[in-house]
Amino acid sequence: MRFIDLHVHSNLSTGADSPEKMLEHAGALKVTLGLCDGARGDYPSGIELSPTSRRDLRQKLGKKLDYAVVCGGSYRINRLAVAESRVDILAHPDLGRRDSGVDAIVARAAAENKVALEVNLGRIINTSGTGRVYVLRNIKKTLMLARKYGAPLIASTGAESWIGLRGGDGVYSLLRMIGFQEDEALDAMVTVPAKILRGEMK
Amino acid sequence: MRIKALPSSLRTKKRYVAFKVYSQEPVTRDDVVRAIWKETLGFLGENKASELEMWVLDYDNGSQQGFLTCAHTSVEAVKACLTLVNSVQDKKFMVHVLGVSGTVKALNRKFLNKVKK
Repeated sequence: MRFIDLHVHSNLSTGADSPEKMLEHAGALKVTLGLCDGARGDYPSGIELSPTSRRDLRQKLGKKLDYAVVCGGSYRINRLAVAESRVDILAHPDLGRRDSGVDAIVARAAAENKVALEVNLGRIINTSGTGRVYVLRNIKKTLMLARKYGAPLIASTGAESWIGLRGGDGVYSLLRMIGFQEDEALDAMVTVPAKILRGEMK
Repeated sequence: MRIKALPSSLRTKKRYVAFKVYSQEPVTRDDVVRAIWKETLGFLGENKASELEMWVLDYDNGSQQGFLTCAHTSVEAVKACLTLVNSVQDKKFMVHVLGVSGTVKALNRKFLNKVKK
């Protein structure tokens, strides 16, 4: 079981450390890393988009990289992202919200267009108290809807420095504690990201 | 007079979890213990934390490797709590789980590279 973490930033975008340093530490943790900095490298390379409209999203999707991540949070952007099959991952759909940002419409569209809904573990790790309670509640709601409509889920750390990376063993245990079944946790950690990198989610 | 030990059939079955700390600056045993308990109490609460039977047994400041013991039923919860550790007193660090074993001897051999002859 080798965890594939596709939502990680280096200093080529918003991160603090160089791609080399991130990859070196990922190797020590036995994690396969995808850096979504919008730059092509000799590692899985993706791009994180923050579109303002459907047209803007389609224009930004023109850049050819291994995968495309849309920065969620706004319900309108969440809906736009899951309606576009060229988008691979809807990242942190609950960013800046009290609710999960995922309803039945978003979950159904994500299943139809094979857009993976992200379970951002960095948001659990970097919060505490009531903030963490809200994040966990939102993840559980997203999990419930994903189960009902068959939407793919993907686990990632959203790390912006090497200290934010986590090993597969710990991530698996954390997902199991949140309420993921064994196969759901493995799908989110390995199967879905591997399919994205092979281009099988288009 | 000392308390009588429980018969072996009634004792909690233990597991040993080896871990390695990655940090930007040196982290002491006290820092690690404090951070692990902070996350455990925050994530699981006092009631669940009492069922873990968790205890940090060994930590080497040089290699930043160590191991803890816990009940065999709570390994997943302990690993999840170790994953959540990210800082204590402004020191940023992470705890990576190296592996789980039923005996200290096997743990040292498999994960901590301490082989006794």
